[in-house]
Amino acid sequence: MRVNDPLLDTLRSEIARDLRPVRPLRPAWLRALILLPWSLLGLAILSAVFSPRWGVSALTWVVAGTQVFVSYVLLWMALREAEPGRGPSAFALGTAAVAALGVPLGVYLLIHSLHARPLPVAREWSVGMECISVEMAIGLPAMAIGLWLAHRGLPLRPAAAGALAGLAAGVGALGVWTLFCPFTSPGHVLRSHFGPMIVLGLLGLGLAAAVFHFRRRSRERL
Amino acid sequence: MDEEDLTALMVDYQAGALAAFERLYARLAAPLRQYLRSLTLNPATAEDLLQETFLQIHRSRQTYRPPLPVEPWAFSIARNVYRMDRRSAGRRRQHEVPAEEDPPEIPVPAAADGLAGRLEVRRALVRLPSDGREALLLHHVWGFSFGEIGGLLGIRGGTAKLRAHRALAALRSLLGGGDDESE
Repeated sequence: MRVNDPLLDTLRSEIARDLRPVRPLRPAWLRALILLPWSLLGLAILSAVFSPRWGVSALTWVVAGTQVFVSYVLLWMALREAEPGRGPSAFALGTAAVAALGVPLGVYLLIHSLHARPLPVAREWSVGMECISVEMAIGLPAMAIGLWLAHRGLPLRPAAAGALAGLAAGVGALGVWTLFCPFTSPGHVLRSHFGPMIVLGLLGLGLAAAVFHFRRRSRERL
Repeated sequence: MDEEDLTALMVDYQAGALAAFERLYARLAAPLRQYLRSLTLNPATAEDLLQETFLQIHRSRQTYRPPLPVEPWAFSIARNVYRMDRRSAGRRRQHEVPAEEDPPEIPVPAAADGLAGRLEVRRALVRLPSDGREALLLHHVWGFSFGEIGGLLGIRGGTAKLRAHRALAALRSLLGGGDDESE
């Protein structure tokens, strides 16, 4: 059957130029699982470099696991955002952003109230810089992977997808690093643990928006 | 052609069959054209965007996951093409046309068909807020569920239902048919 339609004729010639077979993307929940091996790899690398606190309380392990799980949910939502017709609602996106900040904050407050371990003032700068550096070192590649996965789809709200991928990387890095940094002083936690997470979220937002803008511009020029 | 046939066509298209694309086009072009007209209120712009929509469908064909419904996926891409065009060309041209002028050929929901003549209903549809009109048409003309509309518009299913309901009530009110609760 051949349909007579000038638009179809135009499209046919455009499409025939690139008709290579493509494999459908795997479900977002499956692709987001990439965070788990990444978290384990981060844990292994950090264990080789720093002294792990294997003897930490069960609560700390639960906290770390919860943060990695929240990170997984955030990445899953970022990847869902890149599936046309299946995007999460604005309410769900807002809830995820609040959970990304609220859950780690809540569990830190819980740990601080149960097993407070203040950071000595003399070590504030050095320990703070170490925490920031390590979280960024784990988080940046994870964010890059998340953004790449999102952009293999078609993010309809690229800035939201990028922010979620960045926050996912930040919360995941925070979860892994929880097993290494024993200090619970609120100032240290907010500056050196939540700071990198927020920076990664903003970086993800900015990078995704920039890539999208660049893609659109280059397509308009064609 | 039912949903299973559409899914099978998409699978063939992803495998590289040009004939499958042609059949998909034959099936999707009319509803997508209507949808774009209802968004742009401008037939010429809708035609341009229809071409861009099919090109974007082609570029993003790997993002369709069988056996999910094809239409919400395709409509979502069309909506994105419209939004991008509006963003980049917002200052260049105006999509909206004055309500009282000759309204564009947008589909009329069956729920409003008996309230007035088709031209009157179209005029009233054009006067509705665009987000309500969109939810109303997606549900009452193209038969999307409110969950599908939520996924398409990036809102909750309940919000989609509320928008469609309010738009239908406003439409009835504009056409002098009262504001009853039946849908």
